[in-house]
Amino acid sequence: MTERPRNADSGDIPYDQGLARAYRDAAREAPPQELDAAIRAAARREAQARPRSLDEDERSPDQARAGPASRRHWQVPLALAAVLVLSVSIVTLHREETQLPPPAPPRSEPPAMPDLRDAPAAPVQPRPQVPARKPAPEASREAMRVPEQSPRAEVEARGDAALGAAASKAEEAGSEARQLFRGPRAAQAPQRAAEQTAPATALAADEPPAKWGERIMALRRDGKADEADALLAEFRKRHPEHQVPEAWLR
Amino acid sequence: MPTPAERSDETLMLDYRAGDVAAFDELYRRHKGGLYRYLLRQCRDPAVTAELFQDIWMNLVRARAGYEPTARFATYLYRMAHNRLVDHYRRHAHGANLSLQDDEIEEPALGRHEQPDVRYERKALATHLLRLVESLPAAQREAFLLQHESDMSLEEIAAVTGVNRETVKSRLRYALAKLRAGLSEWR
Repeated sequence: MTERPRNADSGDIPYDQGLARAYRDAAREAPPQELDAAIRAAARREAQARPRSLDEDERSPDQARAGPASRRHWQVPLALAAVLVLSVSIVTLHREETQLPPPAPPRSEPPAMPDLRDAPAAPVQPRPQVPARKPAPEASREAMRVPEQSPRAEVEARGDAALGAAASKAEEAGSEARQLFRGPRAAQAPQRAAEQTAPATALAADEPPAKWGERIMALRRDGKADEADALLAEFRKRHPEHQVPEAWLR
Repeated sequence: MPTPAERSDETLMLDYRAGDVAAFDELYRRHKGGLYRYLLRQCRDPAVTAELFQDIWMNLVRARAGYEPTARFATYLYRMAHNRLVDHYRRHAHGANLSLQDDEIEEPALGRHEQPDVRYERKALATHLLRLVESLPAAQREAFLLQHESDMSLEEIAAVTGVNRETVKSRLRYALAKLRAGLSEWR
């Protein structure tokens, strides 16, 4: 409780100093001590349970306070390291390729179909034999191959990442570095699992509040009050500070 | 580096976001009383107040990763509280008297009290004032509490409650007029 509202002296704000003093004297209730202890313990647990990013221990509190923006400073070296690892893999793969028996000359493109009406009949030539490749190098090459990802899968992966709640952003940043070394497919696996287990209401996580509102109101119009309430509850978790319009509640 | 007590609310919240538990303790110490009384005056039931109070702080803890200091921390915290109260009213409201809208402008239900014993005058005044506050229409009571429990400006109260500045001003004027009238025999 404060002595005076900050702009009370302007005369613009309705304020009564005597009344405020009387209220200060009267209103002295406080939360029970056990409630204090429970909340502080929960806050401590949550803070300690949070996985730390790779370089968090070395950051100063000022850097940590600066938030996600300052985390980007390790992303460039990390990207360079990832590129280096991939380059070494490709060079190794290329060397193995050169040590293999020379592959058969590639079949040339079939010539354009000649006009058979004018050409004389030609004898059928036997097809040249293509030497069989050794199976072992093939397997190792498969293992060394840089994982490919279709554009669609890439878009899906990006979308999955966007579905993460704001509360898990820091955790994702920490695990992102590890996932880079495992490859995009490894990164996709837990995201897909999360997508399968996530409730239907979580699907709108990255949408703006207005979209949430439209969905909630549509559900209410359809008489699906329970689903609308569930979606509203999910919205509250993700945007606790957002002012919910009255129309969403009816 | 400044101690937690020397840091602003917003800095403390950012520090807590970065894992500094002491920052949360200081933030909690600063705001627990005001928030608790804000909720208690609104729902008038200590058990419900405790439940809402805990929910709000836990929501704050869970949402810390997404916190950005775009406004005063108090505004952020009390907006969460306002939203939680609206949800609570919606689930449990059986009458219009629980609405936070300007639906009723009513006189305080309290009658004139007998002259209290002088020894207990101060305590009786406090009790009387709190009853007057509780008897205010919900929207006026909320504006009054936000002003007196969290040092909010008109603009900040407007941001928390989702109405415009002039509406807040009007609510405060009504609230003060009623409280003054109710206390006239004591002043």
